[in-house]
Amino acid sequence: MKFTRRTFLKASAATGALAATSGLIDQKVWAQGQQAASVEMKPSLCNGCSSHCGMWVYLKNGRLWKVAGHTDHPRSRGKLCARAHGAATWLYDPNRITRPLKREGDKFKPVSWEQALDEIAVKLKEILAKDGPGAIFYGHNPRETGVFYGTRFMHALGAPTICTHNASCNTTLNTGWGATVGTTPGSDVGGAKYIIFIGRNFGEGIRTSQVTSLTRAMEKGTKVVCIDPRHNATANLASEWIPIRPGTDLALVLAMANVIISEELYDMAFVEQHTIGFDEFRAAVQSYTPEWAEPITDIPAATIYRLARELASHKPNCFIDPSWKGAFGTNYKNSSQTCRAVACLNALLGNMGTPGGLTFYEGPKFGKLDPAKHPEPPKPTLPRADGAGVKGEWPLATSQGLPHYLAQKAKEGKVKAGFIRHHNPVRNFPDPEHMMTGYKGLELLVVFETHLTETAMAATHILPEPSFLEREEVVEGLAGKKPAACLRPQVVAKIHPETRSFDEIIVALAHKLGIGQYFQFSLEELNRARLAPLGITLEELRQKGTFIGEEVPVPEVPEFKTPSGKVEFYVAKFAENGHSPVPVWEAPLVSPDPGNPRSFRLIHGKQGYHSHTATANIPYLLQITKDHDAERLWLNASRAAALGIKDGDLVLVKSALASGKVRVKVTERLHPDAAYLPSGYGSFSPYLPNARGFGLNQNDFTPYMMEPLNGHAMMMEVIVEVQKA
Amino acid sequence: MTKQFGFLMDTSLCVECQACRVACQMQNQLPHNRTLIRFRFQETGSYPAVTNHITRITCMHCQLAPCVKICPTGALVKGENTLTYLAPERCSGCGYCAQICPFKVPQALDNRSYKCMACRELVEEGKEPVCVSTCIANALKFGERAELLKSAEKRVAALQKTFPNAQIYGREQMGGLGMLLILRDDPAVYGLPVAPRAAGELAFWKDSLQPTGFKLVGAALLATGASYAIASRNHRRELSEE
Amino acid sequence: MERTDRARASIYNLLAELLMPPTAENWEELTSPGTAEWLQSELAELGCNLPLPAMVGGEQLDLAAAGDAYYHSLAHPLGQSALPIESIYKPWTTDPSCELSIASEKGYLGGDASAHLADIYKALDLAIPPEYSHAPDHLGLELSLMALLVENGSREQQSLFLSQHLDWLPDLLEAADARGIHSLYRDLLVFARDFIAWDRVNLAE
Repeated sequence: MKFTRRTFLKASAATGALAATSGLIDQKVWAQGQQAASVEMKPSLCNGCSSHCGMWVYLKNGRLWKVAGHTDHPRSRGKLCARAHGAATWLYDPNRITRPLKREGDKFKPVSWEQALDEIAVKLKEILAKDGPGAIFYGHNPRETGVFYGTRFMHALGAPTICTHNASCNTTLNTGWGATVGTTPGSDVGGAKYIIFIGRNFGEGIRTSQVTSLTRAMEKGTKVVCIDPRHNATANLASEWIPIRPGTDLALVLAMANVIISEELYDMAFVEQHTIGFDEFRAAVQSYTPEWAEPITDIPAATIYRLARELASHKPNCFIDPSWKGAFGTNYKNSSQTCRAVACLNALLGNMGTPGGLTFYEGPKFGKLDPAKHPEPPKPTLPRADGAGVKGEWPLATSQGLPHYLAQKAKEGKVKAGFIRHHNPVRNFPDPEHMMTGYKGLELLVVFETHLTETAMAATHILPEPSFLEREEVVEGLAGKKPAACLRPQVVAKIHPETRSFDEIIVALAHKLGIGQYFQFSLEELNRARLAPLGITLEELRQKGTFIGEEVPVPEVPEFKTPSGKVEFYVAKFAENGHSPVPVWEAPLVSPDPGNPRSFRLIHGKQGYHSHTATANIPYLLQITKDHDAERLWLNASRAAALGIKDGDLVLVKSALASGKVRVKVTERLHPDAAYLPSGYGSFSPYLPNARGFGLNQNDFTPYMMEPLNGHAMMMEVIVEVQKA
Repeated sequence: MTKQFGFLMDTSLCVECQACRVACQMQNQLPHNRTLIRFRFQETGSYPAVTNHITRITCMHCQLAPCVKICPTGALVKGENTLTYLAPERCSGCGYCAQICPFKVPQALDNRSYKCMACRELVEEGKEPVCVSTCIANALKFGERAELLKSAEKRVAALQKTFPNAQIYGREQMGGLGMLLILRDDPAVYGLPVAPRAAGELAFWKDSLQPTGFKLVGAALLATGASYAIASRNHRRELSEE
Repeated sequence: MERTDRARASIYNLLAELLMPPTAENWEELTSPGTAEWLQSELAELGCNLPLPAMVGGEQLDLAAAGDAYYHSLAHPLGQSALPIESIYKPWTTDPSCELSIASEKGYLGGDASAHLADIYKALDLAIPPEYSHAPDHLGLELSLMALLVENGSREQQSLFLSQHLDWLPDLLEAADARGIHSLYRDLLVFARDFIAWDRVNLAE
């Protein structure tokens, strides 16, 4: 041999062994042996969306073989949606990040863990010395592992700025529900006789057991009203669809409150005993008659009267759903106040904690690490970099924070470093150029990911995590009549040896940064400590996946975690900060030009088989879109006809920010003012080869803005022009 | 007498989440671009009084199934429970079933036919087919056909208050369908034939031959291998026509 | 071992070396004119009439450039290069009991090929480098195993391994062309494909 061999296969006894194992090399013979093996089942929690539905993972010969719903898990109840099956394939996806990467210009170079962590630590120390811990942030979609380790890490550094995705989702709920009743409640779908969804869409923003409860209730006769500019997938089965002009839900809710109060249909005893500020609220809604609301909302006054009376006639076994992003998530300038109005209207029904009303359950009471052995780092006292809760900046913004404002602060040089996990703000906030420029301009941006997302493209360092089936996580809790503890144990061996789970990385970084004293425990110890009070061991939970605790008695009327301990129709801190303390009408920021036939408000929403852009690269899920032309822009039929646009035509969509082409679905199922885009497409990372360039994304068209009250991203405050391409 | 089993889809409860499609692809090891469940949507009315009618294009499990009669290789068979099973390993991909199906369900691709397998193994173990067990909206049920009909009647009566044309589809069609549908409007709205008939030139063959006679011819052809060859040729012709 | 088998094993080993990431220790040697001369004579010994891959003895890349070319052609984990891993080019499993959506799909890691190779290494007490634990069916490892089969196994085993495992190079080349990998690596893959094809015929004779 002329060259030096590395001998990749280090043989000790290969010679001779081959002769003894004649069938070994023949894959057909081998396959027969494999087929005879038995299948084992292990529990996990799905990662197809952030609901973390319980699932059973079937394994054969150590390979993933099947996934199915976990019957005990309160969110799946034995059923999985399409996304779960798709997400399971991430395990073997060749497009995953397998090694730490470092960005040099626009190229990514593989580096060793040692180099990556050293570089991160050196840079972070430099920034801490120069700018202090106020100049760094952590952003994530908050799930237990990220919350526990991320928060502890940031606190140990003295850094207060921890953000979530919610400013592009539903942070208005924390503001509106939080101010009114102290928390965002759940709803007792199964027990309700009358349900109003304002924008909430169980059929497409799926949590499987909610859909199951809803259709069961409907079979028993529950009336369900969908109020939405779009006849969504829940409207398919609802008793009634009432289209509304997008952005005007506040006017509808105020007018319904007006009817319920003026006709004395509300629960007077509840209002008397458990609320404050009713007189101010009554005075505020006095002028908001259905006749007033009709031209604003485009809903006939008679319908508003009827809805208000029907709803009230079912009190207290009825509700307006607390919602997710729906109509009063982070969509409009008036969304926080809309949520306030929805909370107040529910309070009028006296449905707080009643059967068929709103629920105020708590999660399990987890134990903690021994504080003597493992003292918690002190909570930072510095003001947050994103101004959330800071006087003079965004005093009413929630602790969920403002990732889009951080991009601005980064541009201004006031924020220097970021850590981002399980979260893609560059794609999922409006104005990708604003987000990309801000985040890419950071001196240090560490992204923990399995795939190279748009946000990862901005990173200085990408640290690869194993997929959700390859890592054990922190035990998580679910609120409920019977609180549940759930675990995502590691069910398969790591596919890529150079991937590391978040907790491992944080601990390693902490040691390099001199804050290792806060991380002198293993994930296993932490999980044992959390489970200690619950009466189940970690070993048992690893087998069962889901543990349903004893029923916890709840008080007849919940303890409202508001300053007054009551439901607050009047919120003093709103007044203190220059906002109306009771919900009053406020128009959306922008509206389509009634004189321009091409002018539409661009609205968006989820589809049941995608989780925003996170699943678009999965061939099974993308094919559903392709088979049904489901990436199309919806236009109302009469508006389309006026523009000469036919079903399937290609159109040009234009805003001040961007333009793009997409085909049209011409439909009767949409308010004429709206153009609707499904929200899961338009990925632009070249490292997501299936999803890249497929469809349009609403965020391309929408400017970077902040809602005056809590700073959210106002994602539907955008007018576009649509014309035939 | 054997018990008739079947499916019931309440189209008024479907949220088009596609969980059934993907679960079915898994159960049957289908690649991402092959599916045994396709969806069809049809709007009626005009804004704002609009209804979205949803149905699935999937095997209707006809009692008198022309595909079973015409299948030259015995790949399509009736189970004791009257469901129409397909054994792909016996299928030549001739596409006769695709041509004769009154509902245009089977697809002849990759030298085989694709259609609902009725989850034969699961059903024979007494379990539900996966599309039913995975349905998050309670829109799909599986069981004895007579029982399903009873529950469908109740549901239709309730629906008729809002949708006067609400009805059960599949009670009589093709000798009774194993896939019963609760519709909110006339079958035509859903693209479903009111009086489905075996389709195309092959239907004539079927009618001109007694089923037993046809089977005999089929068996004789099979014995010489000719059936498979003819069937494959037919398949190739189909492909070249595409 | 016969002289020709020694030549075959050496060529498989050379290809294995070249299709793994270049290192400071071996790169110059592997691509030197001396290696080219040697390869030429081995091929002549076998009566295998293939042109040498340009990487050996021809156009020279320095180590850094070679590392970069390798990474972006064959190792970039992000859908940009043509990963030389058998599972990606085969249906994921032939076991009909699998209820995973990808069961009959191509394009995924950890397929039957991967599991089979892992079992072979285990049975033969062969250790693979830890960085390849996700891909026991990496082309470099398969070529290495083939060399070992030539040295220690029967001709039947060699034939089986070529026909059941090392049969996916045409698909790899198709992927390589779709992604436009570095011409030197493309040329090397062509040589590997053709040598394997030649050896299949050779073994059948």
